[in-house]
Amino acid sequence: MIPEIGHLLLIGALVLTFIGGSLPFYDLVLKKSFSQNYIRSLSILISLLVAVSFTCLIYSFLVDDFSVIYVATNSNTALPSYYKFAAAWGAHEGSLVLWILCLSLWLLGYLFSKDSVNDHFSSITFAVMNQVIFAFILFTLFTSNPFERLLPFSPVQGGDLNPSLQDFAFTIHPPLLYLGYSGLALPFSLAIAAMVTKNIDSLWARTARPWSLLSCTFLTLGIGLGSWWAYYELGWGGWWFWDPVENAAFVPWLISIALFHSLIATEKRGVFKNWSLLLSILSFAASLLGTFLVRSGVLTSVHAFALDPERGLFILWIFSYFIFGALFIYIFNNTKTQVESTYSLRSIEFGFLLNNLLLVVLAISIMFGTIFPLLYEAYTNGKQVSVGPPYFNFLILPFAIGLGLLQGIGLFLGWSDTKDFKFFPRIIIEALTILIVINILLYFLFGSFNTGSLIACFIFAWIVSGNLLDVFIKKRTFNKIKSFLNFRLGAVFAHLGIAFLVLGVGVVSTYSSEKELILSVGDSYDLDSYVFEFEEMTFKQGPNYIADVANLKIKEDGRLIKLSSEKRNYLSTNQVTTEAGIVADLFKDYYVAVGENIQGDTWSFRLQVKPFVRWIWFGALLVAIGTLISSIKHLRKGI
Amino acid sequence: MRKLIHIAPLLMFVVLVLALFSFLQRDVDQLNSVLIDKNFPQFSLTKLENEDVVLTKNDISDFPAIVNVWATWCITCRVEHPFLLKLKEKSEVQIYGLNYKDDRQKALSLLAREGNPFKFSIYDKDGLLAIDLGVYGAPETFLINADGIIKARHVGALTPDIWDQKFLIHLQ
Amino acid sequence: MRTAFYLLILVAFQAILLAEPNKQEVRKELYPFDNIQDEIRFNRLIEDYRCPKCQSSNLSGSNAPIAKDLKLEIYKLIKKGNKDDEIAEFLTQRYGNFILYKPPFITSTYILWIGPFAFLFCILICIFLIRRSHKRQATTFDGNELKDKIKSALEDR
Repeated sequence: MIPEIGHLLLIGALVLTFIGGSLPFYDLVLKKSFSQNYIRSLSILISLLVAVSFTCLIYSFLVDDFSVIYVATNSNTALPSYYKFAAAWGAHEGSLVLWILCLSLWLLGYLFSKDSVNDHFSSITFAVMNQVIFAFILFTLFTSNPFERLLPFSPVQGGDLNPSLQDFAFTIHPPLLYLGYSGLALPFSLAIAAMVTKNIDSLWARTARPWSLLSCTFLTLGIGLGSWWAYYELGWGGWWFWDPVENAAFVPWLISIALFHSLIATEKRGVFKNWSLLLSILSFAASLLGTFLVRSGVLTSVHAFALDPERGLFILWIFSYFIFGALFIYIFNNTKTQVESTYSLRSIEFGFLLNNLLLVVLAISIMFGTIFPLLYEAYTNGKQVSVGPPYFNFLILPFAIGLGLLQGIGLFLGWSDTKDFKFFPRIIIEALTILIVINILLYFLFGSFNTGSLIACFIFAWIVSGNLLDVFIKKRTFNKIKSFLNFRLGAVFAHLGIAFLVLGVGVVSTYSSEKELILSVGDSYDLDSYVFEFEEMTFKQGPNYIADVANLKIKEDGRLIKLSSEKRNYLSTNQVTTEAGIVADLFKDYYVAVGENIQGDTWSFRLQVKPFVRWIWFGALLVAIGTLISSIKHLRKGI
Repeated sequence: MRKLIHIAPLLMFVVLVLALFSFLQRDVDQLNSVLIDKNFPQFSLTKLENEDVVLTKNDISDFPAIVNVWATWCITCRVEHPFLLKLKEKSEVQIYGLNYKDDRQKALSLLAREGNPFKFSIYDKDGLLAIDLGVYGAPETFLINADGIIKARHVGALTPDIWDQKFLIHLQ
Repeated sequence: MRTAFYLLILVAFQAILLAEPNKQEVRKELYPFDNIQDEIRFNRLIEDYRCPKCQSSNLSGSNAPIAKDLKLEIYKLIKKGNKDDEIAEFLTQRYGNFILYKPPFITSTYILWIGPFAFLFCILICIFLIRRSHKRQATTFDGNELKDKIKSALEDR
């Protein structure tokens, strides 16, 4: 009964979003603007229907209703309740309902923010968002209905949630990521509204800015959590693999960053109007394209969903409808380009221009690299090629350097032109000092000097000094500190976050070391700076798995660290996973994963030392905090 | 020029969407073999049936032939086994086996139990020849035409449909 | 099966150890190397080659049997003193370019390797051209405006 209610509520939401999506047309026919009076109540109703529908799905999981196919394939009576809850969005069908819920929450958030006034602009935004929600509900109901039943012969026991998804980080990773993905629909809708109502002005830019920032916050958190999860859960110590699914999230992230920078310039100076519109469209396009790549099965990936070309076709139609529609409106509304205000090569406008150029070309190139194997196969008659980490690392390096350099000086540039360049030598001196200090530190930490991370260290030093100079030297008086807190706090946080991220990436990819060992119980392995000992093997009974637990010791300069790594066997599906043993501190992680049982009490191990790896996620967290600060500031101020 | 820049995004999306539509027509993922149109690689391994007999490339001499990579631990191999037996009955194609990373006794008793479709099997305990063939999982089947050239490779169970579509065209 | 395979590796390494009687300590590494350079090379190479079985993982991160075989093969090739491109050649002759996560720089992949940078360069050129035409427009526009102003000022008189 409950799943049917959920199904019906979703159909109800479909009907309501259809009405909502066509509201402006009634206005047009009736020659009155009556829609504005209904959009708030309608959006509350839609959110409510979707939320209750989603709750019905969660309920079906909690009571183990295996007559529902989706529950039967992704849950199990032995699954702990917490994971049953999270299993609701653990696979394709349920995650789509979550997507829809996120979309309706964004709409609700916009309509009840200070930015939204009772006017034509709001009702167009509302209509476009409704069309997006409508399209996704249609997609869910027709190709991937989570409420579908298997009657009358329903199984007594379910399959299981993929064991590697039974994990805390993974339960909150999808909601955050989907909030980010779907959040990009809002700037898109605002851009359409701006074009249709011919309000392409700084008011529109100011309205769109906090929402694009907030999407970026959630994308950052989602991607960061995903990376952290992959690091400790997949058992081989990688934190980023340039996998198609990762790229599908990374590309919208890059474009959302470009977007809110461009929107600043549009808001303050009225420049880059067309460009901001295009970016709003592009960011949503990237989000839809990512959805297509992940869910259509055209690309193979470690964590793609269950695959079905029919779904791919459907998403492609959604993609075509919205993006072509938007681009047609763009062409027919903006053919006359006004001469934009002039700015010099040393202005902040030009800085934003470069920043946008680098971000967007990088994003497009990553997307191109991701689908290149498919293009290649199509145009060379079946020859296959792989595009992986070595290529993407090569690609991103010059772009990252360019963006890093811009971040160091960006806060000192003025609108139109920058007259005072006195800060420049100070940044260089300070950056070089920081660089030297870091390298001495690295030398003492790891006992060797590695030129590989030099560029990353320099970028770190450059960004940090540029941003801190701005805080500590430019601002002395109380008023200036106050204005700093008002205007720059978010930016400084986010830029410093990028700096930490860059440093982490640079150091972990040059100073890491790894060994594969074969040890029996009691054996120890001697490395220069530490001794690694295999103490004992124990057996553990988990709620829905059994595990062999390898207990290990690491002795390092008189310090004794204990850790354990598990080989788990999930009983319902007979899947084997590895839980890595990780000892984390500020400067390095020890990462041990137990491998195969070779004979008796002899096991293989994979031992890795990952310096500075924590700094990557710390950096991502700072970026999220920074963008959050900025967006909240703008949302509170209103327009 | 300005007009062109203005409609450029739309044109780019047209190209992108067309490409994406074409991707959907794509077959399921199968790694294409690079050995197609090449000779069978050299090897020197013992015979499954008799560990004292060393086989080389020259022992695969009756063409056309298929070389089937199989093992007792491979479940899908059981699925195609009846088809291989039938193929041995009705087709003039020679069937050679490549016993892949297996136990000799287990392999022999399986053949005794379920029937032996192979003229003989090469015993590749360490997967050396398999790597030279670009094998990445069992079962795999290679087709060698009358001139001794590899013409096709199939990964996964061999079925009558796949035989007709992928292999038969190279035999006429 | 895997156990058997590991036993095999173990035996193989014991054989290597016995062949070198002057080594006292039993080495516990799965892939023992004589020098650190080779070990670093090995660790890098197994990250750069794709596991043919699992489709989206490198050899280093894969547990598939074929990934282990190929790691062992690469290990042997390094021990034999083969260079990086010889190892790449060995693998591509058997598994095609698919196995390289770093696509080769050949005619059909020029667009992949050069495309992004050429694209960036073209846009930069465009921006500078547009800036120049803007400047010219701006100056002519300003000139006309000035003329109008002077004209109206004269007429006012």
